[in-house]
Amino acid sequence: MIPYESPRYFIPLIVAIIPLIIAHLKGKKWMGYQAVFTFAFLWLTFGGPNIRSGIALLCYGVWQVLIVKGYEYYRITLKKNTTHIFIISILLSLVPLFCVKLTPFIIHKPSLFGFLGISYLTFKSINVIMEIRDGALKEVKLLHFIYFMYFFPTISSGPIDRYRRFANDMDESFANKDYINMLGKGFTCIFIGLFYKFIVGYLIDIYALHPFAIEATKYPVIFNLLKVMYSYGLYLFFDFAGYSMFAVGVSYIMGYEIPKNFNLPFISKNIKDFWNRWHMSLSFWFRDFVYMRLVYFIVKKRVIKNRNVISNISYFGLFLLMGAWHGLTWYYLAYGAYHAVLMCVTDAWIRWKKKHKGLVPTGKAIDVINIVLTFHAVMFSFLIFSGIFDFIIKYPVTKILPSW
Amino acid sequence: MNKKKLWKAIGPVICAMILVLVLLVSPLNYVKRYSKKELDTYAASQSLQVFLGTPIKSQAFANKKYLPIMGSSELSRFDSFHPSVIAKKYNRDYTPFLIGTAGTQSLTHYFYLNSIEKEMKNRKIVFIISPQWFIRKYDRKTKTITRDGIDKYAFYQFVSSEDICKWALSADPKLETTKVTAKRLLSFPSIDDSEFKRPILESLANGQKPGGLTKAIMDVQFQIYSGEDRFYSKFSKPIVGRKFKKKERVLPNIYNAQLLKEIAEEEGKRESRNNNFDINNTFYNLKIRPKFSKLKGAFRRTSYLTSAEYTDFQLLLNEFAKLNDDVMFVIPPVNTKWTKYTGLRKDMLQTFSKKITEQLRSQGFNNIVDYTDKGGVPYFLNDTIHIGKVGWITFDGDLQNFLNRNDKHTYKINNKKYLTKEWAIDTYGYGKKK
Repeated sequence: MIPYESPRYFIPLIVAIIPLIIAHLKGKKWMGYQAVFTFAFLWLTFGGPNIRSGIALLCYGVWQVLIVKGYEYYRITLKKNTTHIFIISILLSLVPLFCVKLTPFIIHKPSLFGFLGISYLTFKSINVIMEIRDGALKEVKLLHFIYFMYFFPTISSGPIDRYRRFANDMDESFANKDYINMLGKGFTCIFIGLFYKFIVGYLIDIYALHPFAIEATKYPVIFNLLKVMYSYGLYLFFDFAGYSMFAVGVSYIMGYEIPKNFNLPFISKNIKDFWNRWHMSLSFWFRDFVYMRLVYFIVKKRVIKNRNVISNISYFGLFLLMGAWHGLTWYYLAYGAYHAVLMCVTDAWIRWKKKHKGLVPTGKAIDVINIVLTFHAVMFSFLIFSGIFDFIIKYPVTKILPSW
Repeated sequence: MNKKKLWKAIGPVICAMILVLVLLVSPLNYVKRYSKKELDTYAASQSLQVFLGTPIKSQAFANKKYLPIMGSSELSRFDSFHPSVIAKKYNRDYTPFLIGTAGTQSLTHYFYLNSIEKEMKNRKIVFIISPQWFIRKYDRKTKTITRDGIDKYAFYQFVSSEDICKWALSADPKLETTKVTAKRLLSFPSIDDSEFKRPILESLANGQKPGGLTKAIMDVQFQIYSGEDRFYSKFSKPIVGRKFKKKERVLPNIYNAQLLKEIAEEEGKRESRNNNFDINNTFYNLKIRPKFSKLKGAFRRTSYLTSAEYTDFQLLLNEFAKLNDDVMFVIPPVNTKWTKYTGLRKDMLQTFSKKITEQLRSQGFNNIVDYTDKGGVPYFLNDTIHIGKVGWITFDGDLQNFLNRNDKHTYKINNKKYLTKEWAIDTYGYGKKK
């Protein structure tokens, strides 16, 4: 079973989580049960007939533990800090993800080492290595790290948690926590998720996206593509935001306040605002560990002086990498490049506005216009992301159907 | 502990769970009654919801007026001469109920019959066999069989979890057919929550009675599935897009087989002009033109003689015999002009016909309409393999014969021979002589 993929996933989930809720209400933190519970639900996804991916998941974990503990020994115990070792550690940590993403291009089959959620686990591991290097982490406890990696509510598609936050939750006792409040929040999240994913997302998929997509691939005219654009963009949001709500909700009930992934993204006033509201744990990860690092690196090396140019280059670095992470196809890269351009243009526009104060009117009406513009810019990016253009180019049905 | 706050947190969850139970499992979840008019439109729709929806199926087949025509993609060739259109235009005393679409095969039909056994007993049924079901695809690079008979994705599209539960709960562990079916199901890797089904299938595959607990869990699952089925059938309407009026227009008002054949030929000619194979224009443009040059000689090695489909087909025959149905089997041809171009061997097709005919006749299924040699009759086929205009007219004649006859049948099922791997891979002498 893929986590949260069908409403039935919640039947065993609710049953199995009851003992944990009771323990938590009594102020006890029952780590033993949490371990069994996590293992059982990992088994549901990666065990049984999917045991091949389960073994891959296990090997992957061992690999990451070796790298992280090795780098911890080097950086904290030996107190050394060379860039080479740091880069080698990062690259080693990336090796499995690279192999899995590249294998399909070479042998035209999915890799044997792949498993659901590998890229999300890689984010977590890189986060730990980076923070060890920064000195922000004084130690990485083995069990904490393993549980952080294998925490089942978020294993398949995030939200991407940070190690320090997670380890704190793990250590904190329930005595001074308002668990009832967390429980309520958790269930609220699950209800919202049910509404988003299994009602709104499902209806959009069945009655709009699916028929529209078939029509648009047959007759790719602008009107049909527009229908796909809106339905796909909205479906993407309701499906993924719904999923994220489940992950957050279950984590809360288990006593972990993992970060949320969406904050009303469609009321964003500009594209920067959008990325602070859409798939937040991913965009913040890229902001902290790609964008900031790139800016810092360029400034330190004094390659370029102009701050705006530095920022723009870093935007391209961030979004092209994010595109490539989604998959190594031209349309994911185009999606990244498109967003990078939008970010640069938005920055330039903000600078221009600051210089020419008073020229651009403000107010509620302007906000509405901004929201509408941003929404459409974003929706178009999802149309690129959907890969429909790739399909139309590869299978030009209109060309072979002159009589239709 | 703050009790009020606690109730606020978990109260809605408890309410929701009670509500789900009330809606799905309680008697409040009554079965929707379908009107005659609704069932009539569903009969020709081939919609997936109709194929899977137990309430629709069982209500339709409670009425003997509906004639089950089981098949696959040829049923979608909804032209003016399609059995559904002919039956409606000439006010026949039966209404064809189309069971199947592209992707359905022996095994899906086996489960289909199993899901509504009570209604399917003692009926006249038409069954169109596609030779193309009986394939085995072998990947020489990885040395694995990539497909043997039905495609596993197609299988799970057309056989619901409800059907599988129903079958598993009622299957007799002593029977050979149970073992074979369970093994076949286990060979399709899991979809959805087969975690719960696996233990029960494993015991059935070993000929053992499943344990009490696994059976109880599956029973609960089955209740939920069929509850969902009943519940959703009240809200969602199957898509029916059949335009009878438009199709009936070309038909003469009084039935005349000769005249119909002439019209069918004319229509066929008009609609198959852009190629030299008598293939329907649209089909040619969509499916053939993009890879036309690649298809030359492409099917030289194709064989419909060795495939797990033969075993699946035997399961189906077991079910027909069990339900005491009177079945007319139809074997469609392959377009001769097309086989010449693609290299598909004529003698292989003839051997297929012989092999499948033996499997049928030797077990008492004698109503066989074999069109294997009609691949060269102009416009018998709509395209490469699907019965079309002239073919449907010929079919109509054979169907009337079948419906007007009342043969006694006694089936002698021989699973020792036909429910085996040996039979599935028996090439029936093909390829040995040379």
